[in-house]
Amino acid sequence: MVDNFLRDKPVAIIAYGEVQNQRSSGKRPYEFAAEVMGQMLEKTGLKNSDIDGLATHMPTAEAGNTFYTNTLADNLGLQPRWLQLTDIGGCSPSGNIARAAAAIVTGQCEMVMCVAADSTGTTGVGHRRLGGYRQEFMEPIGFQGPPVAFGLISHAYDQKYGLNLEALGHLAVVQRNGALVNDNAIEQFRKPITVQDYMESRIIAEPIRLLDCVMRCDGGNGLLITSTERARAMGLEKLVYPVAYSEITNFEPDDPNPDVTETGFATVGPEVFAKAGMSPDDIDMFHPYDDFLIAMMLQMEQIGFCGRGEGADFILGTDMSPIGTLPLNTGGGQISAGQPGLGGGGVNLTEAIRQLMGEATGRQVEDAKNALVTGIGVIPYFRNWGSSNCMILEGA
Amino acid sequence: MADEKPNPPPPVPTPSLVSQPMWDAAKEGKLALQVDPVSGKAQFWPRPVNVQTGRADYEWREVSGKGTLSAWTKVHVPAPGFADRVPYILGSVDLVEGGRIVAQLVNVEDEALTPGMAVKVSWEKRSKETNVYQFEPDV
Repeated sequence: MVDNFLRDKPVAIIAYGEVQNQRSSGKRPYEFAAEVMGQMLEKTGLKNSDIDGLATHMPTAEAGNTFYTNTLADNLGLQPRWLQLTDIGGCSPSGNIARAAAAIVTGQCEMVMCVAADSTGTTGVGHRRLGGYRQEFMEPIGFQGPPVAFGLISHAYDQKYGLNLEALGHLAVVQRNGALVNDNAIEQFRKPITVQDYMESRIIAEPIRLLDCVMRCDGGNGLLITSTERARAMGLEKLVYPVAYSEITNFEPDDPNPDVTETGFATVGPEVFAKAGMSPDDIDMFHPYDDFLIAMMLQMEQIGFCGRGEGADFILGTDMSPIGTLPLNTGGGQISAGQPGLGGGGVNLTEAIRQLMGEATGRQVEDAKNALVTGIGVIPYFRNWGSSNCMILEGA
Repeated sequence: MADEKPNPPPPVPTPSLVSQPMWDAAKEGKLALQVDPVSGKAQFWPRPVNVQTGRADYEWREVSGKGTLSAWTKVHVPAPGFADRVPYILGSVDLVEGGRIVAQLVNVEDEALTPGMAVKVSWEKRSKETNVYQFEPDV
């Protein structure tokens, strides 16, 4: 049996908060974190002084502030006894749930706010310093950004299995339909698209098109997590439990010529199911990290919803709408709701929690008892992505 | 557009203490990689350790610069400094001695590219001190 400290549901998510994603707000991450905290204090009746743990990620907009977490606590009037800064990109928000859970069950703190907020739409990314390889070996050869990495991955996939653009376009449409009924989706994306629109969108780095890509913006989201015992004592009814979690970074570092169509999901996908005692058939909703459409298809294959190379058939043969057999990123995903910088990993996570609390107005999945949420973090030197994680959430 | 910034020159890489031998070799038109002396596996990019062992027990070896093309992408939206090259092709090259380098493919049209085709390193003089690797068909 795989060890799983979350199996007996020792911790519960008691509230979530989210602001509408915006193209460029002029706000800093601090203001978004404050709005998110305010929503959650309102919902729970807690005071900021009740929060004794704080977990967040390094926002792009604050890159260079080596005291970010401390500064955030100060901005929010918090006096945490446990602090966590997580820098695994889109894995950070769900990764912080696991870290907070470990801190709570070991008695380091009792009421943790996990918050993700960024203003990448306002600041851009040009001021960042990405050490190691990006400046020395990627930018000098014409690396334009993540579309180049995913262009190469897509081409490798095309050679190995064949790339089905219609299936990818179908994913784009499914997600866009979610954004149409999500008030927190970025305003610019709240208009319908077709598979044809996807096919005809501008080529960035072949075969990656504009509508394959996520768009960075400003925004924030977060959640409050505490011991299940305390959550029940508070009399709260809408609880969401993290029941299994797996994470991996730097998949197969000793292979100098890796197959870029394989990722850490080949490890953490099967592992998270083993931890939960579940299989892909048991999953009611899938909320995968989506920086590029093909990333979702690769995850479906490697997590085990279908076999390698079968992703397109699976997509075209499965109703992924909120009334379908496997609802997918019902709020639009990041690709259609916007990616609030390095807080983007919280967009699909928040939607999963909202669904499990029964508050996804206009797109509520009936009788959904659980959700699989994933994260992807960091574009490395032309391997696949840097971090992969999977979390299974269950409703009360 | 009135507010359009002039195209900057393509970036000149800044060597680190670890990677300096590679850039020194590049200046002579030679490709040098870190190699694990036990398994013979080469690694690119240069790191402070041999990733096979986690120790600094790598050796610098001059390699042939020959390899095969595994994947490529034609870039239509350029990186800073590459606007006057659009569209340009970036290719993923598996070196004969092992290791993988992604670089601009030159002296070839994308219609002529085939998976597994033989390529060899060539050099673009980026500054007085710095040659940047590119690849071209090995015919």
